[in-house]
This record gives sequence, C-alpha cells and structure tokens, in this order.
Amino acid sequence: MSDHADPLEARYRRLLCVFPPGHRARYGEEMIDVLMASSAPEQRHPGFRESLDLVLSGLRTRLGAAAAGGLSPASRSAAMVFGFLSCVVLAMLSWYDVAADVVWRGVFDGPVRDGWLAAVPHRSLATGVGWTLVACLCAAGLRQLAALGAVVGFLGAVGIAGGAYGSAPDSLVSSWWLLTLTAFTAACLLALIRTAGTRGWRDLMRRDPGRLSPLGRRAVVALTATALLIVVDPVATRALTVVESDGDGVSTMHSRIPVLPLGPLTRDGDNHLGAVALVVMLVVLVLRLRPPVRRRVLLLTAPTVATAVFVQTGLRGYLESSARFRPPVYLTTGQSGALVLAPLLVFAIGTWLLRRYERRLAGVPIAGLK
Amino acid sequence: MPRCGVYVPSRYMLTRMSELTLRPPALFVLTALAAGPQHGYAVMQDVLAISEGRMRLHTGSLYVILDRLHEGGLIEVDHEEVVASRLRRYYRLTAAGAARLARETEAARRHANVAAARLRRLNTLGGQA
Repeated sequence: MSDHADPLEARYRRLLCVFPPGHRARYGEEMIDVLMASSAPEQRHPGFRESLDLVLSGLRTRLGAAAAGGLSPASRSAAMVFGFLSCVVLAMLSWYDVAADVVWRGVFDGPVRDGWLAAVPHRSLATGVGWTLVACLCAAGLRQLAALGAVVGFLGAVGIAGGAYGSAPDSLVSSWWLLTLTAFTAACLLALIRTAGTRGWRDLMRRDPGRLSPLGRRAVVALTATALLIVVDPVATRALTVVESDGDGVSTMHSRIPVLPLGPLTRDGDNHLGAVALVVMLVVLVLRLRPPVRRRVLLLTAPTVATAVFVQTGLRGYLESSARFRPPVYLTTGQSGALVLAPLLVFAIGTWLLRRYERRLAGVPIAGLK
Repeated sequence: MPRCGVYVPSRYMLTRMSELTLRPPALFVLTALAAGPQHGYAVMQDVLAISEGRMRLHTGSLYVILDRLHEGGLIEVDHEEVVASRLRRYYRLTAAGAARLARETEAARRHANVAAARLRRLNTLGGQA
C-alpha cells in the first residue's frame, strides 16, 4: 500500500458517512476500492468533484428512500395520523378564536348590527376553513392537495407571525409552537405524497386488524364530536361567567363554578372544558395506536411540545420584558437560533433514541407487525 | 432489509424499477455490463469509453445507479474477490436486465431512424432552397 493511501482512504471514509448505514454496509468497501483505484498516485485529498458527487449522492440516497415511498408502514401510518390530527387541532384552535370573538364581542360591544360576518375575525375564519379543508382532504385520500394546503397553511402562519414581529416580537415567540406544529404537519403530508396507493389513507377510516391501521371510523367520529366542543366552549364559558359593570365602563368577570387547576388550559381563569375534552380525546386516540405507530406519533409531537415548554420557561423573561417596553425588545441571534434549532434537535434526538430502542426490540419477535 | 422490525418488501422495489424510465447513465451501465461481469471501476472506465468521453461517472453516482439496478433485478452480483485487502464485487446483467436493455436499445434505434429521416428531408429542402 502506497504512502498516500492511508490519509486519503480515511478522508474518503469520512465522506462516505453521508450515505445511509445500510448503503455503507453493502457498498462501502467496494466504493473505497473504486475511489482509491481512481485516485492519482500522490493524491492525498479527495478531488472537489469526487467529494461533491459523494455528498450529493449520499443525500440523494437518504432522501430518495423516503421520497420514493420507502417509509416503513409504521412511519407511514404515524405520518397519516399526525397529519390528520394536527390539521383537526389547528382547525379547532382557529374556530375557537372565531367563536370566542363573536361571543365576547357581543358581551362588550353589544349586538352585532352589520351582520355576523363583520363580527367574525376574518383571519381566524380563513385559517379555520383552511385547516378544516386540509383535514377533509387527508381523510378523502387527496394527498397532493392536502400537502399543498398544509404548505399554504404553514406559509400563511409564518407570514402572519412574521408580519407582527416588528411591532410585537413577543407574539411571534408565543406562537412559535404553532409554527412548529404547522411545519411538521406540512412535512408529514409532503412525505406521504409519493407513498404507494391511496389505500393507505382509507386506513384512517377503517380499522383492519391485518394492517397497521391507526384509527377506526368510530374514533374519527368521536374526535370530530369532541373537537366541536372547542367551538361551543366560548358559549359554555360565557354561560358560566358573570360579568359585572361598575357603570364607569369597567367590567369584572368571575366564573359561577370553581376554576379547575389545569395549568395552561385554565390559566386565564376560565374552565376551557372543550380544550380539556379535546386533549383527553387525543391522548385516548394515541394510546389506541399500535406501539410502533404510537412511538412515531409521539416523536412527531415532541418538537411542538418541547417548543412550547422552551418558550414558556427559557424565554419567559423575554416575553414579559418585550411586552412591557416600547420600543419592543427583539430576539438576540442566540435566542433566534435556539428557537429554530430546538425543535429540530428534539426531533433528531428522538429519532436516534427511537432507532436504538427498536433495533434492540428487533431481536425479539414483535406481534402484529407485517 | 428489516427496518425497525418491519419488512419493506423488495418486490415493491422491483415493481417501481420496471415503471421508471432508465436515464442515460443507468443505460450506459447496463451497456457496459452487457459485455460481461465487471467491477465498479471497470464499469466507470467502460462507460467513459462507450460514451466517447462524454459520460464520466463518479463513484457516488455509480453506486447509486448500481444499487437501483440491483434492487430492480436488472443486475446481480457475479462474484466477489479481495484485492489488496479490499473487497471487489463483480456485477453481471440478469435476463431481465438484458431484456430491458434490448427494449431501450430498440426504442433508441426507432428514435434515431426517425431523426435521421427527418434530417435527410431537412437537408434536401435546404438544398432546394
């Protein structure tokens, strides 16, 4: 072996790390053989074109497996479930805003005189209609349209939050968990575009014990019924709230029933029973999933939850100070970077942990999987 | 190869391969292997020669193509040997690969004939003008 071979070979081996482990296991050694045979006698560093080709080919191999429908059945089912459920959640959050605005505007501004449409917050109405439509497209199996709708929804959310950053940067930070959720929803629906056959989408509605079917028809109906509670929640809250005015334009409100200690769901002093019911329903649905699908749905949910926790804990000081000062306090580079990287890091770590766990399980027969 | 305990069937990949149009680099690789079993470096050199220097395959691209052709059942491993303590794997065309190359060649020949005929007409018209 010539003197130049060892460092050059080591550098080629580092470049080969771009390829997926399976590809490296099958072809790694012969690729090294070809690379070394192609190299010049005194060459010590990989050539630029060769290096670029290795990196691009490695990325293409990694991405191509998912884009060509190479997702495992469990990952495909999890992406379907997560995509559908998150569309439902996003739709119901918007409808809640619409309902709450209509109900409480009627309390403080009196009866609506210019027609109900004038009383409705148009942005929330548009997002509510949009995400409801995307959820319906998911269930109907129109995956390309559903993905397109989700991407439009994500870009819209970015536009709305970004537009408010100049005047109220804390609003962008507060809604970062929402942007994370829409981003992962769009990513899941995009990843499913090229999966084989629309039959997979019909699994959302039918529980077939022979396949990794995630949801049954009854579950979807129950989810929809529970989600509708979100819309009527403001009406129920209004009915349970006493509003007293002191005659000088100052109103005080208190609930007729004790406020339940449910943390973020009742922080503003109202029992958001619709939200509680939706959270319980989501937990029940996720627990009904088969373990491989459930693990992946939790993995997809983790970045959103982690972002919400990070914002409420790590950036709490920023939120409080930015709301108080004029001009507002903007994010530092480090804070911005942390916001962007945190969900990606959580997802990457979660994926690694999941793979390690399932590789360990692979040594044991897993019941119910094809 | 099992992923996370769930088997992704290679029959799916075979079906996908037959539906995909083979691009020129993959066709050149099949043409190279039509001459007999070759290893990766020899395939690269042969493709360069067949294309008269116009198609230079680098290692990364070559093995992506070989992987796809292998998954698609168009090529298979002929034998392996260890040279200078490194693995060298020789690939050969399968019957399905030969049939697919023959179909692609026939299609290319028909296209070339149409192009030649039209060019002759074009040259004739140009001469008259």
